[in-house]
Amino acid sequence: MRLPTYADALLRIWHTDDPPGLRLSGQIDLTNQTALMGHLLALNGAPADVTVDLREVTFLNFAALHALVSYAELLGPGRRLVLHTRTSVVGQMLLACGWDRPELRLTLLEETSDE
Amino acid sequence: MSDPQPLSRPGGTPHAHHLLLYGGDEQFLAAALPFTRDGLAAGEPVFIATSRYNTALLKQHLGPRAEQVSFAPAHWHRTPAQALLAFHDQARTFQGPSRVLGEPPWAGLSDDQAREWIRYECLLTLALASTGAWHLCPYDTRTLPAGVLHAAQLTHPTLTTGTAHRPNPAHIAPEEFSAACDSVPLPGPPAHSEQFRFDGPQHLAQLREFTARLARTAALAPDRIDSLLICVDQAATTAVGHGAGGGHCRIWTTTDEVLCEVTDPHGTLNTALAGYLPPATAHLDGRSLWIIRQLSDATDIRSSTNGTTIRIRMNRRRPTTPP
Repeated sequence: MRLPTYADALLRIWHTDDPPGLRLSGQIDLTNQTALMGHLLALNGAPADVTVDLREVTFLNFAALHALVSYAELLGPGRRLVLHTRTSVVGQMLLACGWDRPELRLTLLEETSDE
Repeated sequence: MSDPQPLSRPGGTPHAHHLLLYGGDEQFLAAALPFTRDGLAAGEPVFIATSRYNTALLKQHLGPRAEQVSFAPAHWHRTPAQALLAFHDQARTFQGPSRVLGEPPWAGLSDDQAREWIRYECLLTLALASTGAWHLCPYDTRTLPAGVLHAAQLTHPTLTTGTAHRPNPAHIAPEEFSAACDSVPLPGPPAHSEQFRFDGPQHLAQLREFTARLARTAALAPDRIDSLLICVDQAATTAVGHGAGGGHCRIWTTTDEVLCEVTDPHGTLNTALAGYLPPATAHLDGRSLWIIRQLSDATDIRSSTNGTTIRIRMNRRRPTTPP
């Protein structure tokens, strides 16, 4: 397995080629939310959808989600940000802020498992 | 007194939030039927969120026209914050004039809960301003407590009987009314509450761990723990970023709730409209309290000489939620 391109006490980030994007593991909060934004911006602008795999993320703070939404808002036409998660709370936050509106280029894939 | 006239839409004014005090089926129908029929005749979406009894009554009198009306699903009025979001989003979706008959479920509420539903009524006026939605709020004078009926007369800018509307001279500005709701101090945390102090961003992960452990002990459902962690983290992040760089969190449980209180000892937040109104613009600060109110079952915020306290409440016994 590839080494993470970013690692701290709470979070590890890998760049992925298939699908193009990022895979994250751990927790994202005030201490490392800028790392997520930095690595998003470092993705090269290939004319493709960007997938951020959050399935191994146990905590994603509100500001980090806001950063992801801002990134989606900046994507060019025809491209989408795909968020892959295992918790329903991401979807709840998107809904609460009107970030579920169709014109936003963001797709949420929820894999919620029953406990 | 004005002559009876067809219910015309109250223009583009931000006062399309009408109070109907009714003492029986006749008075209810005298307002609700023309409100609904005229809306349908004008091609406006009509949405009804009222008691089971009044829903049946309206359906019976509307006859086949009832099929053109949207009736609220169960649990529409789950929390005041969520009801406000739902009404706001719906009004925005309609992108034009729409009508709503909304009657919150007052029966069986605790004093705290009733206070928040009363506050929601005053905030609705602000949340709906400029959306094109016209809300008719029926209040049953036979069954509602005097305090609820009294407050209704302070929170609605317009009074209606169905045949005539008139400005409500007793209406209080929403911001003032909401601030008045916060003049009631919160009961202090019990002596057995558990405390966690945080002095900077590096303690947030431990704070979440502390919160998750106590929430699991209280048998809070896993998806509700996820929501609670977002709320507590956000409240503490605000304290770390804006206040003294730290604060403390107290957690305790009652038979019905898990309560998590985050205090920023140097916070000076004006609580009147804090996090109550849908975030229209991209200011993250305004959204941070909004998200706490949306994800929790209730949140009380108070500022005093002791700073700002955000008390997040999660129900341990939840009604079955809609999918």
